[in-house]
Amino acid sequence: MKIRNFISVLLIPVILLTGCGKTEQQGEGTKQSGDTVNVAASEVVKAVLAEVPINSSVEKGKGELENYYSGLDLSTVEDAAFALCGSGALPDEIAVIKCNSPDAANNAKAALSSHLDKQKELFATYTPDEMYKLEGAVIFTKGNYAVYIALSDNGKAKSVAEGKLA
Amino acid sequence: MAKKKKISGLSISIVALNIVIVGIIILLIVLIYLHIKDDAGNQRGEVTTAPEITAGETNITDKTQSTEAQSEPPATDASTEAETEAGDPVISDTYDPAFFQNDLFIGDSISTGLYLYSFLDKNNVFAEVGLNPESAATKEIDGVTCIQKAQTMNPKRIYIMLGSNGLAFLDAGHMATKMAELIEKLETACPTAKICIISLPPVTKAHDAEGNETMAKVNDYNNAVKSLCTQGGYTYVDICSLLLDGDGYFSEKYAEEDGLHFKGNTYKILLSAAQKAVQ
Repeated sequence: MKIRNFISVLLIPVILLTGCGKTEQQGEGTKQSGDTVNVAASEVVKAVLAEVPINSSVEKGKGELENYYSGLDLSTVEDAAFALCGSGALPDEIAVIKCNSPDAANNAKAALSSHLDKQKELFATYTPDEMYKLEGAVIFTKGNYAVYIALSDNGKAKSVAEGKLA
Repeated sequence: MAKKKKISGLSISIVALNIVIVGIIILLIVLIYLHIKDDAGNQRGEVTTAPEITAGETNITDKTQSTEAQSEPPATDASTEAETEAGDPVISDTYDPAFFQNDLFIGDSISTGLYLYSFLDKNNVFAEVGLNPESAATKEIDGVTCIQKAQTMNPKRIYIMLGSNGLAFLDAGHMATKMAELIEKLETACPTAKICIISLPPVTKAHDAEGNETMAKVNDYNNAVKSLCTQGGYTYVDICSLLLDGDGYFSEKYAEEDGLHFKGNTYKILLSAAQKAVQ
């Protein structure tokens, strides 16, 4: 009898307290209905920069998007983050734009392609040694996201970005 | 016969003991939670942890700068003085962002840093990679030339820092002539604007050694635009001498790795000098 009481003493608090535990947190890139990924654009940018950094990087958010990328339909943009070289010396840049639909993401991709053309034009005579970043630049969409990558290792950067958006 | 009160097979003492144990455990959890929360609060207060980017916010991560520079907002009137190398005079990096709210800065890639680092609003800067005194008058950014932008904006002051991109292939006299032509057009567009020419910044010793942009060329050009300012009654802002090291080159404390562009904090010195020059 004493053993049973002793065990009950131990078990009751345990049973009571198990209800207080947190359920496991959702991962950073949680999936919504279907295959739609829901990850903050800044998280993707940070993850890429952790692997392929930009010298003197400045990171900016959705509010400054229109100052840097023309041709975007801002009414379709839900979230955005981008980073570039603050000193203006290098063409290094990454932009992640989350739109409200895959079609809108494709339109954003077109705007990013125009941006790349402009960058190529600017840097071609300015820093020819840096042109490999622009010549090998990657622009792609994944669901509602449009991504622009012009960095020192575009393949690695794309792999990291795709991993975050998978 | 001692009677023991029992509730569903458990004695009162057992139930009481359980309540005490649960109470202690809950108390411990609350204490641990408060401790963790306090720690998290302290970490947030340090600012150096990567802040979440929200609309309109900018996060500067200059790998070549100090942590202080990364977390600091643009300088204000609050007194902050840039320390110089041992023995050098103290160089001011104090400026008032509001002072420039009706001003226009015209420049090349170096000047893009003014808005990229969020020291100034992009509307106050007309700057692009590769711009020089010859191309500035006709080059369009966002569909307008600097003349058209100045005419629309009607700024109180126009600061021009151009020439680094011409040093390698244009001589100082030619660039100064082109600068004079640019100023004439700006004066026509904005008769009331005060014209200020900012000197070219220096180049580092390593950059100088490459032979394209050298300190000799920088000095030649700066002397030419200084004469232009004297003749035309324009304000000359000497940023070059503020950024030199002991050997007469761009101090690596202020220069980007390429030896030509600015580190983030260097813009504060530029703006401080630009403000003081017209006060």
